[in-house]
Amino acid sequence: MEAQELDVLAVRAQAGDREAFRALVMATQTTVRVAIAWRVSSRDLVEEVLQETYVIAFQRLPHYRPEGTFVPWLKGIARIQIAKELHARRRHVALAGDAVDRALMPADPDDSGDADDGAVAAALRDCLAQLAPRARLLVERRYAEDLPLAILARQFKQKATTLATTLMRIRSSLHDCLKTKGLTS
Amino acid sequence: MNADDERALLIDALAAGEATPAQRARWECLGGDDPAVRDQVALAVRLRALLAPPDAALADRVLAIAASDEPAARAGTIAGIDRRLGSRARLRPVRRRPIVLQPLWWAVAAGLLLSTALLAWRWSSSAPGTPPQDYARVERLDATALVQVDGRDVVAGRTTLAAGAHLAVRNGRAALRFADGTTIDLMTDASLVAGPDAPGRSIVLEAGTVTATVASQPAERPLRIRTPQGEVTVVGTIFDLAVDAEWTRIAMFSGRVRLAGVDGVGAIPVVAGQRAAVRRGGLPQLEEDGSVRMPMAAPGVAGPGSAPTSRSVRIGPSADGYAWIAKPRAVTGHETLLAVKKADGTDRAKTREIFLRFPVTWRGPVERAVLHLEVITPGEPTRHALLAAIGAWDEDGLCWDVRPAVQEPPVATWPVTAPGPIAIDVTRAVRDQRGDTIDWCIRGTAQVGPDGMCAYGSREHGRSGARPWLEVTVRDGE
Repeated sequence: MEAQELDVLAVRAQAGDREAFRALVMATQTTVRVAIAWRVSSRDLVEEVLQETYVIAFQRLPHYRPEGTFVPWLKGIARIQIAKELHARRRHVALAGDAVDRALMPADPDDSGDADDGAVAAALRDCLAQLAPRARLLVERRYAEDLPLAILARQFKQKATTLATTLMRIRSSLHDCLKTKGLTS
Repeated sequence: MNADDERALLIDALAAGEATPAQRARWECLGGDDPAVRDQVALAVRLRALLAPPDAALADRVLAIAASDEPAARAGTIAGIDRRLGSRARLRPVRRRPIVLQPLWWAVAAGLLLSTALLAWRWSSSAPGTPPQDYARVERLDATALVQVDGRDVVAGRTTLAAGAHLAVRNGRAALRFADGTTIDLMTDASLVAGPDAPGRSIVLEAGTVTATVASQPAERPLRIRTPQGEVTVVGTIFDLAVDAEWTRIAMFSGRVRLAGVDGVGAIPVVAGQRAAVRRGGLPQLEEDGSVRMPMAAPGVAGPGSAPTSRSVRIGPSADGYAWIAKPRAVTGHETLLAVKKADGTDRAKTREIFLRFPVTWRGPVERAVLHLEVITPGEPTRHALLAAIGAWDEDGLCWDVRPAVQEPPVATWPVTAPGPIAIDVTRAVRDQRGDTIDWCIRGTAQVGPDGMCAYGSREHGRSGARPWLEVTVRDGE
């Protein structure tokens, strides 16, 4: 959806149109989710920050000026929320975290810096398109359809461990593909 | 399963947010420190974010939270609840997963549906007037636990807690499970009264320490836990709550609650990572520096099951850690798990020994002393021994090269076969102690294979029930 179309929805939402707000959330959440996922490495945290971002966006909607910047505005809110969440979690990890928590906790929420997550996402889509059809199918079923490995094992007639290893190899190849484009995953 | 397969499954589970505590405990063994492994998890999370279809329910959740105008309501909607803590209520919205059923399974599903309907009918006919969503069930977590409801011992596996009922844990541990998935783990000497109207909606914690894992609650009808000093309003979170005669203390692991004085005065929000306390007749205050520990050494309450002149004291360790041959200078004092393994030959470098220190805080003759541990990952079936440790050590410096000596013979030995709590009788060793602390070492008594490493919860473990503790029963008045 174009920036101007989003602004039209935003203006309607500012006037109290709940359906317009729902449409805004549907239209922008993948972009915002990707932007968050580029800065944190936990699925739970991604979903938590995403929800909080939209709650704050809804509350601050009257302050948004429709200048074609709705998505950057959302991403700005998301970045602040990431910083807040990571600050709180760092204390939690220090108090009660395990080795996994410590390893996956980003050193700094801005570690990904000002990397253009939109460009990285586009590059990743391009790399996905280069995968062999069966590998692409496996990735889509695991990540887009969220099918558990146990079900995929039946569908692909392979053991779950084999599929997990295959997915690891696929991710390695995607990582290499991004590197050739001068990007990091 | 080889290590590569295990690593691949762990990465997949972590990225999906589905890793079990046992899998997480294997993180370091499987090369979790390798940046390439972290990159794998990160890329899997990003792939999911990129490819997952939009969540159609997100906007409605956002509007509901915004409409509630209650900051605490957010904590329960999607909690970043830590799966380290075991069987946590998954508060994330249910993910869309296509149902794949074979014809045979349709028959099984139909049977289950019929059984469920029959059970529901039996429930409604046996407990008229009790809303099924508000029931609370009591479970004994230790085989030796002594748990009483309204003065009667809980002997069956499960007992339903009626409105207004009194629950007391005289020995061992118990759990209170609500229909919505909320679980409250109660330690020895904890006692509470179920709310008068709906036990699933309010309880009065009279004394003791509990760990509450509260599922998402309706914002207009949160769970309320009252104590002699105040009350906690919860909409979905994980926390420890400790109550004694003077104080109510709370340590938050996830989400957010409101802690207030008596009658709700001076309510303050307490969020993940924070600790707060309210004193009898006072107002709640945050303990900002996080340095205040839960009062693990609070004196227990003598129960009717104990002799009238006896009292129990529960003591948390003042230091713990493990030493590992392969990393002779690695300091593990702040790990959440304590690893132990006996290995010989080429595998010898994987040998690990645990060290524990308890302060001597009691006075008077010791009637009984029990060391409580929780096995998080058992490894291969084996046997462990507890030995007296001799010599100076501290948590920030303990490593293989400077570990204290140990004294044979063992104080006790016990089999390790499955995850769960273990109670070890250490009465004689505690009676014989002469210093200000008791120092012990746990080591394996038999060699185990490559997958034989066992892990116990440490004092830093996120779930208080998994931490080591010493229960000492002393005679009063002598």
